[in-house]
Amino acid sequence: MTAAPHKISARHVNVFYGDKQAISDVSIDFDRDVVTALIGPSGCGKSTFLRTLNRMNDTIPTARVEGEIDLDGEDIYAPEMDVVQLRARVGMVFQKPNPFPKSIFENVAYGPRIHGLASNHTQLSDIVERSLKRAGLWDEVKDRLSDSGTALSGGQQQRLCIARAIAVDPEVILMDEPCSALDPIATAKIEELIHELKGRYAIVIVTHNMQQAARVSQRTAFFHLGALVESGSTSDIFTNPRQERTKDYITGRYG
Amino acid sequence: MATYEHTIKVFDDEIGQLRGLIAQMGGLAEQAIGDAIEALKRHDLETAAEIVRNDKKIDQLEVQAEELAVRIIALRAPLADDLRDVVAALKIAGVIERIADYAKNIAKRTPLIDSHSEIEPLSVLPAMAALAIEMVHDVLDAFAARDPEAAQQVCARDRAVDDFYNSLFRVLVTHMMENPATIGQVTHLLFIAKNLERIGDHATNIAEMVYFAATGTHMAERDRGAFVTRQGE
Amino acid sequence: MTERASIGTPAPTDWRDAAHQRRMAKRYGAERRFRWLGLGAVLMSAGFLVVLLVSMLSAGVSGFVQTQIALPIDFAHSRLTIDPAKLRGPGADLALAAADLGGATDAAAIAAYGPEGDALLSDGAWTRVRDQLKADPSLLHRRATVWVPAADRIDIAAKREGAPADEAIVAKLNAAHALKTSFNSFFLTSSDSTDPTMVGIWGALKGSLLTMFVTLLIAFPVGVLSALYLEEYAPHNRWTDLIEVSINNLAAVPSIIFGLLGLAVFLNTFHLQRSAAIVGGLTLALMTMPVIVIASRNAIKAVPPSIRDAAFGIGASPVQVVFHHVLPLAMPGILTGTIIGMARALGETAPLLMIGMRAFITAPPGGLRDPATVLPVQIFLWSDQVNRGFVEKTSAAILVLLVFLLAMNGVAIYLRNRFETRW
Repeated sequence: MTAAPHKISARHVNVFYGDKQAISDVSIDFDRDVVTALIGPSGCGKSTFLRTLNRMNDTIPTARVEGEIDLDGEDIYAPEMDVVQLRARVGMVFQKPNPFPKSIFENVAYGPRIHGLASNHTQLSDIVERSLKRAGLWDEVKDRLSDSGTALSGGQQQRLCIARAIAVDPEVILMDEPCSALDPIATAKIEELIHELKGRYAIVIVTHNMQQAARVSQRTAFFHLGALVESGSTSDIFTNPRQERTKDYITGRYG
Repeated sequence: MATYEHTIKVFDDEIGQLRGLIAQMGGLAEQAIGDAIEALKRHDLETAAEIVRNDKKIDQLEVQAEELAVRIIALRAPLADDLRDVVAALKIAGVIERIADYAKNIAKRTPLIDSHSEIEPLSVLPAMAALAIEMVHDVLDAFAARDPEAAQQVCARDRAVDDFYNSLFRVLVTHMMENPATIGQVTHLLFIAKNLERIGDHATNIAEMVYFAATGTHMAERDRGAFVTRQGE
Repeated sequence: MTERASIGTPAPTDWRDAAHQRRMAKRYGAERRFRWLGLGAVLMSAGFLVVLLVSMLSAGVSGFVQTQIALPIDFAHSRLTIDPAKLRGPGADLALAAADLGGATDAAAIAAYGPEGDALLSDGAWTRVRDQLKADPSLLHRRATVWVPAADRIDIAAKREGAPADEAIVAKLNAAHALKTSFNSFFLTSSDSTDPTMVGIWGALKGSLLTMFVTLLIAFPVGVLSALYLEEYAPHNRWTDLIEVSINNLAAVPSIIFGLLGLAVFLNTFHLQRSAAIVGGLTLALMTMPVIVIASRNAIKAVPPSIRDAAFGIGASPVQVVFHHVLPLAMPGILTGTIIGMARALGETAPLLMIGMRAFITAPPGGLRDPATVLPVQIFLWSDQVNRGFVEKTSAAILVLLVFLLAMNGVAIYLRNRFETRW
C-alpha cells in the first residue's frame, strides 16, 4: 500500500451498539500537525467516533465497527493489528481527569514500563521528566514526584494524564472533552498545551464548548445524529458553515 | 433566514434591538437627505439648520448601536450568520453615520447658494437625490430581510448615480466657463452632487456588507469603482 | 377544585401559618425519634456485647489458672525402679512409661495427706511428676517437693464455692502452705482429656489453624479468580446469569448441607481421612467461596471505570489492567469479604460434625491428614460434659476463640489499610 497522505483516514465508518446504529457512514481524515475538533450535540456520536480511532470501543462487548480506518495506511481493524500497540500509538485523554491512584512518577512511567520503552531507571526518569515538561507540569511537581497523582488539582491531574499519554510517544492524541471538568484558568492552560503539542502529533479533540473548538482547532467536524454533517477549516465552520444544521447548532438555534 | 429562534431568547431580542437601531438610523438618514435637497431647492434655511442639528441624533444612535454590538459579541459570543450579522450592523452603523454627514454637508451649503439664481442643474439634483435615497432605503430593506439579491440590485443602481454625477460634472463645468460669476455657487453645487454620488457609493458598500452577512461570501468584484474614480477626481 | 383555584391565583405561601408550624413540629419530632431509636439500637447491641464479654471473662479467666498441691516425694526410698542413666538417653520415655509413677504418686499423696490423700490430686498428677523427673533425673536420688494439679473438686473449692468437705480440706492445705494457684500454661499447650484439670486447648487451636489454612488456600484464590473472570471476562448471557444466581444462593445454603457434601465427596468418594484438617478445610472452603466471590465482585465493580479506561488508553493489555489496577484497587473490599467469610468458617461447627471432627482427640494434629478437632467443636464438646470442672474450661476456650477472631480481624484491617488508596 502506498503511503497515505493523511495520518488517519476513516472511510464509511458505521458503529453499532447492539441493534442501535450510533455512527452512520462517516468518512473523514485527520492530519499530522493539525488539531481537529469534533463538535455536535450530546449523543451525536462524536465521542463514539473518537473511541473507534484507538479501538476503545473494543471494551464494550456489544459495540461493532464497520468500514475502514487507516492509520498511516494500515487498517486498524485488520485482524493482524495489535490493539495494545495501536493504543500506544494513538493515545487518549479522557473527560474526567483519571490519574492512577499511584505516585505522579508512576503515573507517567506506567506506559513506558509496560511497553518496555526504557531499559533502566535513568532512562525511565528521563522519559518521565520529558513528558512532564512537555505537558507543562514539571515545574509544579518536580519536588513531589512521589506524591499521589490524585492529590493534584483538577487541571494538574488532566495535564498529568496528558503527560501519561505522551510518555509512550504516540503519533495521535485523542481528547474526549478534556476540559469539561476544569475551571477557565486550567482550561486555558490545557488549550495552550494543545497548541504546543500540535507540532508533534495529530490531535483530535471532542468538545461541547464551541469557543474552545474555535480557539484550539484548525479543522472542525460537526456531527449530528451519528452522521458527519460538515467538516472543514475551523474559521469556515464558525463564520460561514455550509450546512443549515451546522449553522443552527453553532449559533445556538439547535432543537 | 433564521430557521429557529435561538435557544436563548434574549439573544434574539438583542439582535432585534440592534437591527432596530440600524433601521432607525437609516430612516433618519434618508429623511435628512430628502430634506436637505428640498431645503436647497426652496432655499429653506430654517430646515437646513434643523438638519444640521438633527445629525447629532444620528451620531448618538451610532454610539448606541456600537455599544450594543460590542455587548452582544462579548456576552453572547455570536457565531456564523449571527456573527456576520452583528459585524455588518456595526459597520453599517458607521456608514449610515457618514451618509448622514453628507446630508448635513448638503444642508450646510444651502445658505451659500443664491436662492434666485437660475442654475439649470438645480432641477437635476433632486432626481439624483431621489435615486440615492432609494438606494439607501432599498439596501436597508435588504439588510432587514437579509436578502442578498436585493443587495445586488442596489449595487447595480450605483451605475445610474454615477452617470448622473458624470453628466452633472460636465454641465456644471460648462456652466462655470460660461458664467464665471457663479463659479463659487456652482462649485458648491458640484460638491453637493459629489456628496450624493458618495452616498450612492456608501449604499453600495452597505449592500456588500449585507450580501456577506447573508451569504458568508463576498460579492463578485465589479468594474464600477475604477471607472468613476478616473472620471470624477 | 381548590387545586385549580390555587393554580389560577398563585397566592404566596404563608410559611408561618399554624398548619406549617404543625408540619414542621412533626418533622422535627420524627427526626428526633429516629435519632433516639438509632442510638438505642446501638446501645442495645453494645450492651449485649458487654454482657457476653463480661460473662465469658468472669467464667473463663479462672480456666487459665490452676490450683496446685505441694506433693513431697521421697524418690530415693520409693518403690520406683528406674535406672537414672537411662533417663539421659533416647530411651527415657520408655523407661518412665515402664515405671509405676502413678502408684508412686498416689503412695506419696497418702503418705503426705492421709488415707484419702490420693483423691486430692488430679488423675493426671503423675504426668507432672514424670515431666519433673525427665527434666531433672537427679531427683531420683533424693527427696523433693513437686507441685501437682489438684483434683477438680479441690480446684473448684479453691476458686469458688465447693462442697463443705472440700472447702475444709482447702482450708487445711492453705494453712499448711501446700496449696497455690498459678497460670495454667498447660491449658494452652495440651489437648483434650477426660479430666478437666488436665485438658488443654492447643490441639483444637492447632486444628483450627490448619483447617483455616486449607480454607484460605483454596477459597481465596478460587473465589477471587472466579470473581475476576465473571466481572472482567465473562460475556453477559444466560449462562453467566445462571452462575451468578447459583453463587448467590450458595452463600445462603445452611452450613450443615456443606457438611453433608463434604461427607459425600471427600470422605465417601475420595476416601480422605476422617476428621482430618484437610477435609474440614475443604468443606469450609466450599462454604466460604461464594461469600468471597460475591464480596470480590462487588469490590471489582466499585473500581471506577475511568481507571480501566486510563489503563486501556495507554495500551495496557486486559491482564495488565486487571492485575496492575483493578485488583489492587479492589483488594481492600476483597479482603473485607474474605475475612467475613473466614470468620464465619472459623466459628462453624455443624459441617465439621458431619465429617467426623467431633472425635475425642488427645494429641494435637501433626499434619493436615492427622485427626484433629477445631475450637468451636471443642467448645461444643466440653459444654456437653457433666463434670463441673469443664464449665470454666468451656468459657476459657471461648475466650481463646474470640482472641483468635480478633487477631484475624486485626490482620485484615491492617492489610486493608495498607492497600487502601483513594481516588
